Amino acid sequence: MTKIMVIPKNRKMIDNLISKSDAFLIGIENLSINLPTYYTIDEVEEIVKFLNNNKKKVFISLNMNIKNNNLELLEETMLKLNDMKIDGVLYYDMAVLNLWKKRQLKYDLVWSQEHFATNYDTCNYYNSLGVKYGLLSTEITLDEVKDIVKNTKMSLILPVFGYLPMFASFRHLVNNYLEYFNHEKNTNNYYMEKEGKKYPLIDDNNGTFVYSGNIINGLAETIELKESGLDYILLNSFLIDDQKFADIVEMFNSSDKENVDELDNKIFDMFDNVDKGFLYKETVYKVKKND
Amino acid sequence: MIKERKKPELLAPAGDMMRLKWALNYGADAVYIGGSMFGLRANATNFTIEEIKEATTYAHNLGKKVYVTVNIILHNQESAQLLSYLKDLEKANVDAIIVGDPTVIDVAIKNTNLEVHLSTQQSTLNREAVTFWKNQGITRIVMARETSREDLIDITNNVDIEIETFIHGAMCASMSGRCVLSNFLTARDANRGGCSQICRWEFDLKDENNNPIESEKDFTFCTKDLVMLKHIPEMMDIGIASFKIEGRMRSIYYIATVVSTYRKVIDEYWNNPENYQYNKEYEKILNNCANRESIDQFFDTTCNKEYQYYIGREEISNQDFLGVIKHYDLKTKMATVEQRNYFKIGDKVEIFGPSIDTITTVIEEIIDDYGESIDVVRHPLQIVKIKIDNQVFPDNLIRKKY
Repeated sequence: MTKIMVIPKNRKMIDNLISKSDAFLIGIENLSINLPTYYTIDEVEEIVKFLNNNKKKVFISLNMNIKNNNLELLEETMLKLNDMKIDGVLYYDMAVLNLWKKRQLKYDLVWSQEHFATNYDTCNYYNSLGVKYGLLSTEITLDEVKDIVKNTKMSLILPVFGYLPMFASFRHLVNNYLEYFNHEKNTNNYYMEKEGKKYPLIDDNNGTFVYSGNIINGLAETIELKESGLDYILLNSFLIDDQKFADIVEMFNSSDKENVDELDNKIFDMFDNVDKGFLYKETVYKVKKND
Repeated sequence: MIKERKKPELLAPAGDMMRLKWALNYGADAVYIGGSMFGLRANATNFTIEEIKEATTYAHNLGKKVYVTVNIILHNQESAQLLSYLKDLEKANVDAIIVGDPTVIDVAIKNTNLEVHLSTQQSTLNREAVTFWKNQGITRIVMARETSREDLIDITNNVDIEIETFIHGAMCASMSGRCVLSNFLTARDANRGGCSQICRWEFDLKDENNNPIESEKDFTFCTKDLVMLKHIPEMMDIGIASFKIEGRMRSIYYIATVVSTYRKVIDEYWNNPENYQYNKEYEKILNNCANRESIDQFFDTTCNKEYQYYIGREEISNQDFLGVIKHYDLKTKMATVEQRNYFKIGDKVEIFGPSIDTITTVIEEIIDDYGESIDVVRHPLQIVKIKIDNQVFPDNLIRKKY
């Protein structure tokens, strides 16, 4: 049974979506990136208790690239999380995996090197090291996703709604630009635009982050994904209006074979920048050479 | 951990056999090359297995090494050919493979005697991650470009494994592996060798309310290049095992200049550390063949505005190199051009070569290989036709004119 995992934008959204989502993915300050909100460890503890009480699954993201001077905070946080009842911790940096093994922590891990989870052999590699879950890349096709699900024992999560991460840097690329040209900085949130297409751009304490110009909508595909045995579909509220996001979660909840196409079209009507991402689009890597 | 003083390796890029020989002959201890499969420079000239055999024979005769990049992030269908390819590399006597996807590590370690180095694509920054990879059988880590002096000291003090760091060349604006701008904006897979270098593009910047933030130059991620010349002695003291120069697609001129300069610095400090003095002349030599301004990046700082590169192509440098003439049609006055750097309609260019006086012209028409008129030429090695009134010849070069 494919479950719905949600990335909430704020605490209130967790309350509002509690009955509509099976699992929640939460960020922690200074250890997570690419999430709408980063909570303190105390706030995380409160959220975890709330979700435990409501019998919902909870996943915590520690998906930042970790510098040596951040290892202490990482280890401390991982140990604190071990005292909470959480279902999984997402990791990008292998420091998390190494510490998890070393400290024999009880929660499960989620391999979350977002653009690298593109084949089942590597899912199996991490699975053989004890990693239960994998967050799949969004740069692969629907057929590739199904093929991976079929060929690994790893439990898989696939983002099917929301803006997608495209770029992450330790550098403060917007701040640098604004300083260089003597502009004041009043916000962390920007857009960069090329040929009429706008890309969300964030420059915050952690660095610079860019997101897809379009919102991915994989609602119609969830029928096939459910049949394939995918464990979780992931819906991200980042930069989406709260009410619209609640409607979206409801649509993913109530979709079935009969109404899925209608609901899928409805999502296209709700936003003017929705697409199917790479679900039907293969990327190339060799440019045709001409003589 | 007591560190044994060991002379570091100077590791150079080699896009083809000619570059490999130049790099080794000008002082590299080892070269890294791309094979015909699974490399992250899909659009570079890569080596066949036969050529790799020739390369290892050539290098080994000089007492030097050859590493082969097998550093793409695999998709399902690609792993099927992996084992036979790795077996071929083993038979070709390569000294190590450089790997990004753990599946390659697994297949290599279980089935071959190949030494496995971890690619910078994994963005390894800390001792815990280094320990993890060491336990997986990796013998050398190519550190993330964001690694600082303190990180390097901590890692070399705590983990007994070879550490390789970049010392010279272009930087990714993002953390390696975490950029898929190329996938989204050009449908070319950055993690399978198709990176179209979107971080060099210019964008309009807008605030959260959609108001344009205008400056004399457009917004870009473009960063200055890396030069670690002045830190080499310190990095030798830290115990870095291998100094890596970036740029398998660079010119022979570039490779020869950069390799020979670092060779001198390493040898001078190694042979006489007490009396070593930094030679400013070497810095000038490197600057003169640089694509863009260079700086020491994350080793010492967090990279502020001085580390960005906002001046576009306004320097006389290799980046001004726009393309190579492949053919000229006297009747239509259309020249077939193989692209080397982004250019567009309206650009003022020079065409130069051994048999012509330098021609200055403005690009007024560009036709792509489908016969369609286009405004910009942004893909490496893209073939286009442009109008040039004066006769030009194959292998004449086009550069930006200021």
